[in-house]
Formats: sequence, C-alpha cells, structure tokens
Amino acid sequence: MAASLIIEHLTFQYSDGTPPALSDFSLTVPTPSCCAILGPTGSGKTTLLHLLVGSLMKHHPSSIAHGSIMINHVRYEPAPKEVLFPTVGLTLQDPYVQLSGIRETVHSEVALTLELLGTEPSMIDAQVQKTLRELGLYELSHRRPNTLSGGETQRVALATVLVADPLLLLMDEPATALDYGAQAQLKSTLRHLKEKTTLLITDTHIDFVLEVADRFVVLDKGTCILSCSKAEFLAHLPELGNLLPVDDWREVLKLRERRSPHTERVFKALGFT
Amino acid sequence: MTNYHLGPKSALTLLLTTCAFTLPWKIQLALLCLVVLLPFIAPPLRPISPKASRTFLKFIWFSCTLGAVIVFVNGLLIRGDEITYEFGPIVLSTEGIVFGLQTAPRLLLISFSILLLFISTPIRSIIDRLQESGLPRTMVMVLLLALYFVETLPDRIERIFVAQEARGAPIRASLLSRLKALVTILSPLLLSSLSESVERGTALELRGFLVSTLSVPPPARARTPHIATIVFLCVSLLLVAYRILVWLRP
Repeated sequence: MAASLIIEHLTFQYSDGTPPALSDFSLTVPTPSCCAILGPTGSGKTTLLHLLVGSLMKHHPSSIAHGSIMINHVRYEPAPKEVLFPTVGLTLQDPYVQLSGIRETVHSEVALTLELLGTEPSMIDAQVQKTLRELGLYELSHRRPNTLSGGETQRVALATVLVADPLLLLMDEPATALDYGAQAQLKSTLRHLKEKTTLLITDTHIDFVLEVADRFVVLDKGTCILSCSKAEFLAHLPELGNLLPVDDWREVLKLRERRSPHTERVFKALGFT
Repeated sequence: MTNYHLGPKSALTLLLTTCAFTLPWKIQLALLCLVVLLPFIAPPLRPISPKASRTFLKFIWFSCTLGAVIVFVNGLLIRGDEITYEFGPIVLSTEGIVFGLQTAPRLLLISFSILLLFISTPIRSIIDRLQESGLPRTMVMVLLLALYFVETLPDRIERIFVAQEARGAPIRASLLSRLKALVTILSPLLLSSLSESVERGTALELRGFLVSTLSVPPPARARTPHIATIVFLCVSLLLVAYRILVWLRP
C-alpha cells in the first residue's frame, strides 16, 4: 500500500538568521506515483527528504520550521520530529554508508533492518529472501557487502530499506555514482516499485528521472520554481538551462520538434508522450 | 549455525592472560611459542578467512620486532652494574635486558591470546553471544561500529596516502617521510572518520535503530559450559590462588 504525501507551505531554516533551506514549499504526490525533485547542489533537495523522514527536526532542535506535512493521512506540524521508518524509508546518496559494514553477507545486512525493528526472528528470513528476489539480488545473498560493485551496492542499500515495506520511499540522488548499465537496472527496479510505493527521488541530472517519474519539481535556493507533469516539464526544459544540465536535451528537443518517424520511435521508447 | 567454541576460546584468552601475570617469564616464553603454533595445530583456533590468516602471520613478524625493541630499549634505558654489550654510546645493561625479557613475553602473550580469539571467531558470533548475555542491542551496535572503524582504518590511511601521492607528495620515499605523512593526515583522517560515523549513525537510525520496538530482547539460550571452558577457568583460578599464596608466604 502506498502513502499519499501532502506538503503545505513548508519553510525551514537550520537556525535563526540563516537563509531558509526551504521556502514556502508545497507539493501533493498522489498514490502510487513517482515524483522527481530536481535542482542544483544546495537547492534544498536533501533537506526536504530528511524533513520528511523525521531525522532533521530530531537532530536540529534549534531549527525553525513552519507549514505542515501530511503522510498517509497523518498530519505533522510543521514536520515529523521522530524518524518515521518503516512508514517512510530513505536511501542516502552514498550507498556505502547506508550499509552497516558489520554484517558478513548481503542477506544478513538486509536482515539487520528487520532485527532492528524487532521483527519476529522466524519471519525475517522469508521477508529478506522475498525482497532480494524482487530486486534481482538473490544470487548475491551470500556475497560479502564490501565486494559488490557500485550498482549492486546501490540495490542492496535499497533492499535494506525496502525489506521493511515502507509506504513512502525517498531516494537521495540514487544514480549519482552509477554507470549506464547499473542505472538501467535501477530504473527498471523503480518502475516496478512505483506501482506499489510512493516514490520521491532527488537528482541533479534529468536523464535518470525522466524515464521513471510522473511528476517533476524543480527547486532553486529552497524555492519551488516548477511543479508539473512530464509533458509540461519537457516544454519548460529550455528555460531551466541555468539550473539543470539541459544542453544535451536541447538537441533532443530540437529533434522532437521535427517529429520524424525515427524520433517518434525514440521518444516512445523513452516513455515521452 | 557453526559452533565456533566461543566459550572455551574466551576461557583460553582469560587463562593465557592469567599466565602472563602469574608465571615466570621463561614459562611465558615457552607458552608464547605454543600459542603461535595453536592456529596451525588446533582446528577450533584456525583463522576463519585468508585475511585473518594473513593478519596472524603479519602479527608474528610484528611481535618479533616488538619483542626485540622492548628488550633493546629496556637494556639501553635501565642502568645496572653489569654490562652485557657496549658499542660506542650504546650500552646495554644485563638488568635492563632481563627486565625487557620479563616484560615482552607478558605483553605478547596477552596480545596473542586476544588475537587468537578474533582471528578464529566471526564478529557475528561474538555479537550473538554478547546479546545472549544480556548486553543491550544499542550497546552491541555501538561496539560493532567502533570495531568497524578500527578494521577500516588501514584502508582509510592507504586511500589518503594514494591521494597525497597523486598530488606529488613523497610520502613513501622513506620511513621518516611515511611517519611525517602520517602526522599530517591525522586531522583529515579524524574528520573524515567522524563525518562517516555520523552518516553511518544516521543511516542506521533511518533503518530502525533506536526505534521504540527495539526493546524486544533477543531470546536467551540455555547453554551447558563446554568441558574445556571449565578446565581453562579452573586452571586460571588455581594460578591466581597460587600467586596469592606466593605473595603471602613470609
């Protein structure tokens, strides 16, 4: 079951006198869907994710926040003050940090999440196996986590969160350190995931999220400057050159304007309407 | 689950540590030779991985150097009536050398006894036992993270060395330059370790660490102590009793 997410007029400052990391930010994410939060470094993407999961207000008691967040019909004013896991799961930008480093195998690393949650020991193994199969990681069950490739580590990091079945999954720049093949695998996983979980993915590049997300939000210095569907986002793309690396996409958009049968096929394959 | 004989091995560590404080240095030296051979002749004490095996072999060489340095430094610094060796300003006293010979096996015996436990037992097995003993899970996790930090420290230093080398710093030119480089990387090393610890802590918290349901205690298993555990513990107690009697004797 996926969770709905409604953010209303959220403003956040790390402390009094500092510029707001988020300013009057509002967003509604229907269930189930995938929303991409785009923007340059320092635009407030990671702050937003940590506010949603509850770790930011908990660890920054002197921070100042206004507005409200509603997750799965539960309202938090201004934001959750306790970590909401397993209702909300967050994967960090660095997947190597996400893994505890203290478990011998991928299976036991994923199982650690359930152990930490106090799950009945007899149920842990089945749940871990199910998650590993879903993410195509079953073959890696007995591998040592520190011997995995970047893409595999990213998917194992995702498994450590997904094993608890979060209703809302937040991912902080999941594709940053991945090569093309690993990105393609992760995209396929996320396309499958968004059918049952609400996803919120941040990124500084367009390429990865364009094939996965249904809704796009662009942040700049904590302010939402665009919140729209994929079609609207593509239409606005040329205006975002100062915030996002859109140069390559300008060429793609030019091709799109020509509308030849070949480009039509390419756009269809990419999931564009 | 594989039985790693944690009880007997912990008791053996305790016994060897007791020996290091109660027996004469010559017996300690003989025991040390036996302990070095144990991983090769006693199956329960075999290293659990090639990495553990390499660590043990490296530590044998390291302990030889350390033992020699302890004897030399004591011989050099402790002044006595009898001179064993004299070469220019280097004068080694017999009293100092004897004191070094008494100290080195003690230190090495304690180090080897602890190392034996760790090279032959997976960390997971130690954690399970700690939890079964009733140690809170939060405490166990903090211990594990500390162990992880120690384990990854050499790799972290190596990474910084490689990065410094790439910038042209002559850090591997000599032992002195390595030592100098080690001093200069201390602050970045500490800062990066602290930063990673915070991130790792956050990541664990985001996976449910410290969640209220955590208070579910792990099931405790009733165990009958292994005969070796009882024997090692009894011998340790006897040695302590013997030492106390020797002290009390007029």
